[in-house]
Amino acid sequence: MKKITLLLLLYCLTYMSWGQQKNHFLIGVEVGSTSIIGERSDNWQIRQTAAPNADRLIETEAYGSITYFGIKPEYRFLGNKMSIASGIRYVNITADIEPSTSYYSYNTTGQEYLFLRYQTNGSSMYFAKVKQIKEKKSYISVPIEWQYIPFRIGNFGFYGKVGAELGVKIYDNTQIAFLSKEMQQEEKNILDMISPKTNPIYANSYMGVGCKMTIRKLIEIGLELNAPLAHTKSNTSILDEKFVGNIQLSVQIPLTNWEEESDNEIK
Amino acid sequence: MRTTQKKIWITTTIFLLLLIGCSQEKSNFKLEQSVFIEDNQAPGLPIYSEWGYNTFGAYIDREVFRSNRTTSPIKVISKKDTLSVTINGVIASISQEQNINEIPLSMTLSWAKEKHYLSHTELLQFDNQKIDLSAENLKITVLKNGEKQPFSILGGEITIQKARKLIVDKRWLRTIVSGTFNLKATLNKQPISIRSGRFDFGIGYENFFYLK
Repeated sequence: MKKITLLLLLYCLTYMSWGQQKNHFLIGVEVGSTSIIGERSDNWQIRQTAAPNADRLIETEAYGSITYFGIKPEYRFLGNKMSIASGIRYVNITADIEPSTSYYSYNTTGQEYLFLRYQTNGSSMYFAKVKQIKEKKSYISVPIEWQYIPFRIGNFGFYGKVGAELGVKIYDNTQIAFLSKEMQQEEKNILDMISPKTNPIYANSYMGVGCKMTIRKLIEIGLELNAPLAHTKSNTSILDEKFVGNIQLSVQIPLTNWEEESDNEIK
Repeated sequence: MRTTQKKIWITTTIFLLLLIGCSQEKSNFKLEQSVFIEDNQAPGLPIYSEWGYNTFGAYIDREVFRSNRTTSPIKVISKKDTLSVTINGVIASISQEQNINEIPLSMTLSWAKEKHYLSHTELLQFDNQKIDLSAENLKITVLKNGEKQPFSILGGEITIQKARKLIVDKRWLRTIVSGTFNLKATLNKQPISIRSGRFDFGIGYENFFYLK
């Protein structure tokens, strides 16, 4: 972990110092978020609690999200219309399964549970009553992006971009909340038996559009929407991911006074 | 000026389209109250399973006889000298108007046994067993739409592929009994065949009865 952090720090410093020797460099931070759209994975064998004529219907809800933040140096050329950017990102993927009675809340007891099948052999099937299964994975990734700003209106610049990123897993944690304390003590054994596997690599390619607002010819605040072109599967064991587009917010500052230079170039 | 307006319109449209495409949704998976997964190879019948899905099905000639959602599919009654197993289902057919008609049908297998079955846990001994339906100590009665039907077995067999424990939070909650069956019989003096039969039952406190 220390080695990875050190390498990443060196990478950033090298990139930034290289950037300071050029004219059209910016440094920025970015934050993005998305829901993972997909179906509950068969990695977790869940059975319902409701009997056919029960007055209370328990549903299984599986939900996942990706959030990330990163540092992104950017190089602009062709009169600030084209840019290439890279950097480093911390990607956090969380997903959970839990019972839901949202549509029947008048009957909610707070003790809803699902049956999780965790072992099967020739003579027995083992289930446990669970309140929640929660998973958290973290990745460190390196993105690379090409951006084209075809036009600006006042302080607003509109752009399109394509990008890709490649990352490795640095943190992996799965927790099960059982209904009974007795079973909670067995959490580690049960997780070992189920042993949900997730992809150690996180990679995706995407395209997006966005808008940047320049404040006082210094700070750029951007908002963009990205749609996936391709992405790795099984980055969570809870959902079979189908769509992972995202909304991203970024703030960038120039490392040099590039606005003046670009104005001169245009003149 | 027109060019600028056009650019704004195009950009706004792309933004809106992407916003719709990327809307944040919570994936919601409705629960099946009974686990009926149709068998592609035998339309109308549940798949063969060994997970305690509480389903059964068979073809009676060309009609589908299967469990439904509202009726408990199996009841096991243990008496001093008899073990009775009742399966409750429906004859399902589709009318010309594409309406599904369901006629209640139950079959009770009474089995004269010397052994007493005090609990569902004792059903585990049926694992990997075959039962000859033409045996003298077996009798089947049929109720169609609540009325008893004359029924006589010509021959057939039940194969219990698996009987195993269903353990929840370390407690033996049910015994799962799964298998297949085929038989020939007369129903209302008409010969019939019951084929492609399969069952997957969870038998526990709620559907096992010991009568002294």
